[in-house]
Amino acid sequence: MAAEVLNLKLASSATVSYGDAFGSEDFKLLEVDERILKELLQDGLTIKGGPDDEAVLCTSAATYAIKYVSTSNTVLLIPPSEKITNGNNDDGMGFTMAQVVATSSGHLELVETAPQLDNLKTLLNQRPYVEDLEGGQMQEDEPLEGLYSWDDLTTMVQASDRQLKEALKALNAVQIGDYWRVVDERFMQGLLEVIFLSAVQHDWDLKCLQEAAVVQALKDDCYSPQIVRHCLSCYGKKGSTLLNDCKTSHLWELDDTKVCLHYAKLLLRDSAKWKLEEFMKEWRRTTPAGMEPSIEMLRGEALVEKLGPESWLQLYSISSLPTKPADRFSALFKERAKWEWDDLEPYLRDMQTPGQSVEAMLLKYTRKTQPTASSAAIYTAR
Amino acid sequence: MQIPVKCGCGGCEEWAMVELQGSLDIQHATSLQNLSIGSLCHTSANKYKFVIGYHELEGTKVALKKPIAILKKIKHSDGMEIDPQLAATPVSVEMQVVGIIRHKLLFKTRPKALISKVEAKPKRMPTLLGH
Ligand SMILES: [Zn+2]
Repeated sequence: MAAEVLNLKLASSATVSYGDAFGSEDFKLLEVDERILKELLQDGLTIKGGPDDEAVLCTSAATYAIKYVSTSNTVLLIPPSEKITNGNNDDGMGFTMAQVVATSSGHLELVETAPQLDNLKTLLNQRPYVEDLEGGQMQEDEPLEGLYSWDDLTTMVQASDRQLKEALKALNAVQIGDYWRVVDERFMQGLLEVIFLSAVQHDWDLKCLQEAAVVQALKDDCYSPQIVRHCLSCYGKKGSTLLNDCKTSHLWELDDTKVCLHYAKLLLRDSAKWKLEEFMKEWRRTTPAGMEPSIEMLRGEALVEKLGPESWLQLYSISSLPTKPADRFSALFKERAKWEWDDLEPYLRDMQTPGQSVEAMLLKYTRKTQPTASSAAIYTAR
Repeated sequence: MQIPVKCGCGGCEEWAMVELQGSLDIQHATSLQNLSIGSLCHTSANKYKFVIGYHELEGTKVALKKPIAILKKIKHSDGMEIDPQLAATPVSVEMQVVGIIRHKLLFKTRPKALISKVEAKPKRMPTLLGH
């Protein structure tokens, strides 16, 4: 059923008047497309934002900025009415009463936007998971400060559920008990070392680790099954499922790049700058046998700087950079006044936001120069 | 903070939207409730006539490019929340969809005077101010 005035029969008329309760309710008009409308009516949507944020609207998959569009026209809102007066007026035609419940001076429009994930890192870094003594179980009297559950995060972070899940995965966060945690890198390194030692001891193939065997072996070293599985998922990918003795066990293939990168980061944290050759030597020495480090693996994680005949390497991780385009470029140009495309590109990989391509961002935030046709393009701040 | 936006009825009905150029100028009215605005008539296939005071507007029914959800703010101060952490915010706010707009009656012409000379304006009758 729709408001009667929309279905007025030919030659019939309606008396339009302000309703009994006109002006008592404040209505907001939200323009949506059919897909969002369907989700809104079926599952509902969520408006998110703290007192200092601009509110966003989230569907299960995407995040939208909310834009107010005002009109100078008079807009009358008329709901369907229960009480249709079908009488006869002077000329014998049927007529309808249409009651205006509110007027509107504008509506809200949605513009898809990038999720605001900067504060997620800050929240999770308040209390990284540093020890496994509790075996995944929280002590009852442990203070909850700095710990965030899924419900806390979904309330505090301006992102859709899907985007939040992806961001937690990208941060290698894990749910332990009720809380989402990032695991301290040194703790993770210790665990990884134990896995490699066990692999040597039991003659395991790092490309084909049996989850059940790893979990069992590491129990003796007081690592909980959950944190072992998390470690395997951070540094490897799940292979097929193995069935033996009616028990299922997953197989894990450790990823060369992820493992090597982990060891590179440890070295780069120990010393601010490395001579490239010395770094490569040390990197090969610390990385487990069978895994071959390569400088390509460091794109987006470290920068090589040429000083005279020497090349120096320093940590510069994309994960430490702000996510908003203006802030990202400002940080990049603070680090280096001039960027070659090859160096710059890895730091823009995660920057595609809805409605904004990397090309558009480069035009907006950088100036491109090319000294000669054959030389590499140089980007400077605009 | 999170504000749920959802349908509370399970089947939102279509509302009508009537859009006029300019603004309604209400004269001598102390309150708007039950005040008559005018008479709307479906004159031919897709032609509508809206008579407001001594002015006549011509319009059409237009399908909106995108639907509009009508939201109403609802404050719950229910005792359902037993979580002590939530006790600090006793009032939870929700935006409820109460209707959908898919069509509007659009009167974009300037008002045409029905009588050339207005002799006496009746009280409590809105008139139209064009732009
Ligand atoms: Zn509804």
